[in-house]
Amino acid sequence: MKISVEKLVANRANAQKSSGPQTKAGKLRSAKNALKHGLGAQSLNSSVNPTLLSHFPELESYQQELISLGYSDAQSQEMVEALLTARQVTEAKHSAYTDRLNDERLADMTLEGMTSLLREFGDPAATVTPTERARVAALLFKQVQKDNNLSGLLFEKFEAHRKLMRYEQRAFNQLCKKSQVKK
Amino acid sequence: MADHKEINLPQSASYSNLPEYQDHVNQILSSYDLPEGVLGELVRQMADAMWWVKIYQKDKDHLIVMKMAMLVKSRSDVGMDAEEKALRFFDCLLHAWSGQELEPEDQAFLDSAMRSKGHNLASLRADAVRRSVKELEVIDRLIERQFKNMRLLMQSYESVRFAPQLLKKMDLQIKQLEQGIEKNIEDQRREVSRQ
Repeated sequence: MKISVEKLVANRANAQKSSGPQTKAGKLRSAKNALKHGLGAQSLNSSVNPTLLSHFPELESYQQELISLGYSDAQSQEMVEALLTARQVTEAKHSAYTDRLNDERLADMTLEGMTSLLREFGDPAATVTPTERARVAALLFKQVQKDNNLSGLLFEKFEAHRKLMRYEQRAFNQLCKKSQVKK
Repeated sequence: MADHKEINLPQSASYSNLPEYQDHVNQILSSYDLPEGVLGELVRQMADAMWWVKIYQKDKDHLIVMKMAMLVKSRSDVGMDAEEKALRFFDCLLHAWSGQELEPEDQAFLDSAMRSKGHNLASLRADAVRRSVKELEVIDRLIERQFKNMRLLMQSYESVRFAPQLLKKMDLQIKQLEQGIEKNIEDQRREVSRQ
């Protein structure tokens, strides 16, 4: 089910009353709210992150394999880092190429319908001017159009991959560079 | 497509879990004699890039067809009925464009919608492509990126595969250079002692 405008406005209004996370664990969790894929994180470029390595245990055995092939310790370490980054980019691409759920879309309606809905909505004592109401209606209508443009929704997946392209380019360039044998 | 989504878009997400994806990767691995370890990892990455090329090309076509469907859909159509109508157009257009025969009812539905907008199949497609130039450019750049990734991965594969031979060759070259230098030093010593 698509979300109704009434539900959306009520959710937003309730969210304004929140005083944010209180506990340390909650604060730590919310600190990651803006994290999308972590591909730009500094830790990835400086050294192999042990937490990430635990997700891809086979990469550790690759280092031994590279050493046995004649790569130096430092080179094999760099190569494993490059492989890890490439793998993360691949995974980010797979999870980014998704269709938007209907819960994240506003139901289709006309601008007139939206304006009349907003007129009915809210406390009669609220001092919302017709100009303010019209602005909110226009903003919501823009989102309604975006959410109901099916070709636009299809393109959102490509757009997600376009945003990952620079990480992809860097990851595979690094992988190629690090795999070259040096003496 | 999962049931919880009302829009029946052509492809489902999370490709890495799909059997088709796994089959594709296994097929590419077999063509490289099933390498393991680092080489296997590199071949899997290559297979992934090839997979995306296929998906992008398929979805690029779906995007054009969806644009065609949105063009024939009436502007006054609003709500879930409009979405269902657009999706029906999409299905009919996809079948018609791929040369498949439509049910007479679907054919009539499509013809009347196109006629109302003054289009035939070819002109509608041309209009959709013209209106999607920016989006299509992005998709072409994504496809190009996959080819570049494949080339870089191929180079990495060659580097790792021939690393032992290359190191041996470099080792021999260094030994040869060392011997040459030692010989020069020895010659110089002999010359000095002769004088």
